[in-house]
Amino acid sequence: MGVFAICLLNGISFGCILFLLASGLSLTLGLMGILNLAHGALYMVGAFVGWTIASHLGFSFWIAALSAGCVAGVIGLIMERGFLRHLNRLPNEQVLLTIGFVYIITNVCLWIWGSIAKPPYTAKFLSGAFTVVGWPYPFSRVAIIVVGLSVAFGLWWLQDKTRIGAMIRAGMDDREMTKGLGINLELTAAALFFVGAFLAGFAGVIGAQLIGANVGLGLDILLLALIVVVIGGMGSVQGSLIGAMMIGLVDAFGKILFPELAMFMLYFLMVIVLVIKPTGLLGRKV
Amino acid sequence: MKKKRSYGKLKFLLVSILTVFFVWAVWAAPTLAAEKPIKIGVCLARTGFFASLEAYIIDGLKLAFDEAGYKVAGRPFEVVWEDEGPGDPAFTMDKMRKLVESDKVDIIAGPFNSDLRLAALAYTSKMKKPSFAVVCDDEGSLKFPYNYAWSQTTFQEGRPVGWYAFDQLKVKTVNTIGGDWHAGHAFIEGFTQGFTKERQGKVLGQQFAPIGTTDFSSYVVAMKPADAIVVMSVPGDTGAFISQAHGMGAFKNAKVIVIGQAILPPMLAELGPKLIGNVWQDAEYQPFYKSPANDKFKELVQAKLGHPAGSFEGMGYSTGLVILEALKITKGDTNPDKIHDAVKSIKMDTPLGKLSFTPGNPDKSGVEGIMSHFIEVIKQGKDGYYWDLAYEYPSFKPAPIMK
Repeated sequence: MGVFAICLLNGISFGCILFLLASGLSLTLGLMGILNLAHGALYMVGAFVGWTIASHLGFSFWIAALSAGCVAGVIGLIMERGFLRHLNRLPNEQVLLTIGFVYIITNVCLWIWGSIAKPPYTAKFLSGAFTVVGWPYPFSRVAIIVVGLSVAFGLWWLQDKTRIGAMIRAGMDDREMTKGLGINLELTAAALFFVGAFLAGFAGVIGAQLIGANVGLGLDILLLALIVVVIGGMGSVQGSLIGAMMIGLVDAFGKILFPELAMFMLYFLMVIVLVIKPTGLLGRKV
Repeated sequence: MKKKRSYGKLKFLLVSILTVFFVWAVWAAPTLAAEKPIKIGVCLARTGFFASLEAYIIDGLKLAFDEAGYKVAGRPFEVVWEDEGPGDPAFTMDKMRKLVESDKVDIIAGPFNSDLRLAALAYTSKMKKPSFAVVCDDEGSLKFPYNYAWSQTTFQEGRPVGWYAFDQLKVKTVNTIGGDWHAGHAFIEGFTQGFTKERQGKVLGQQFAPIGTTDFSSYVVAMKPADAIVVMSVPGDTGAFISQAHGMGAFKNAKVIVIGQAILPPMLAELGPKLIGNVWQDAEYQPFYKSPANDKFKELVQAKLGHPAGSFEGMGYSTGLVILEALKITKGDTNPDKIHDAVKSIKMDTPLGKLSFTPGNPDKSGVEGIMSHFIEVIKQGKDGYYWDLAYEYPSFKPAPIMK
């Protein structure tokens, strides 16, 4: 019973990290049709910036998280305004460009922070643990769950209950009509790209409580985020949440029940969803 | 009637010139050869993930070469530096071919990455180029002729950790978790042999996590109650595992033993408070190891590089010393068979301990170092946490893998 409860909580907490990362990717892909493969690199930047502010300089963990989000957001905005907006409807070029950004960002991080990994860090008041069915369970994982679900609620509310959200959804459904109605889709897209990149950097700090920061993180975490987007569907916050939870739980239980097959099971899940529903569980048709 | 020209004097002059030239060439050849510099090729990462780590090894090598004044046995030597690359064997092989066929190096050090090293050795042994590892080598490297695993292999490095756990820490049962790549398995296999076959310990659970695993909680949950947890992976994953496992209370009743020196000193700032008093790890180089060679090395690093000596500099510097010692024994002769015999005869003191070699096999493969291994433990000093020397296994001989 204890093992089941711990695995369930672990799966949910890991799923929340994936959601924070994948939601931004899903939104930019859904609205702008841009597959930003540098999204994982922005996560990595966030993790390193957060380490510098929270661990190295000793400032508040939450200030570190917000600052890391802003730094990643600015980098994302530069990428979008300076480069990606000129490659509209050129997916191959977008992919190549964003892969190039992965190498650039990774090497800049290597240059600034070095190749020695930074261990996980968290806020001081989250350092302890409480008991769940006889097992110690860290406060930091509970914080990840709370933050992840709060952001999920916030994004859902923004997308479904606000005018801005309506504009975003309209842009996803029909760009030309939306532009024709006088909505500044360029500005909306740029703002959304900033938000997506912000979420990636923010996720880097939240996830650093488990994973820390290292220069290999960009591509490792991107793969999982892509699987989440494929399963959940592009452009859907709810889909990203469901996809992330599925991946988190399959990962947590798979390592216990089928350790040799744990990595394979994630891809197997993705294949099943693609076969049954190619647009993802709650995806929009792009 | 035209007079017949006499070529007699011309012929005499020509023969004289040729004779003088021949005599001079025979007399001067050794001198010319002696002045031709020895070429040492170094193939280590300047780009990619390991670049900033291998920069320390490069610094160590440069210290050894600078100290020798770029001369050995009366002959000058020069170093050709090449980039092993970001982990692509095709890229590395291009560099190896350049070093061997274009730069015509006499000796090679590196690559660092074990996958690249195995690929490179298949080529350099065929070309009869003596090749020296810069850190502990892969067990598979021992089958290649003219390869010198002076710092032993990943498998051998795990064995004394098993002895230490059983003999000194009184650990009888362990769970192991290793990185799921070749070296990760080799380290754990070495530990398992040392702990269960060469001692009477028991491994209750053995798990391997892919490199880049982000969430280790399921691995922690799957562990059975045991006296210790043995960890071996890349530094990033090891740090993440230790942090997560500590948060889940896994270290409350179990000691932590790390193989492969995976917790690097800069990581102790965050991990020190969690680990102090309960974690040990093995080390190829230990700054507190007392020897004249190590004392000299530490002073050199502080003077030339401005910071305390570290493991990777120690390994680079010792690699340089071993190469130069082999060349001293051959009196500067770079014939690969003479270097091979010279390496086998080496007995020297390095910052990593006293070093000698096994005789190897008749086909010139299997030459491995006999040297010290260290166990270190975390202590807290006025400048923070650091690794202190806990135990030394001197003149530790490699042993065959027991099935």
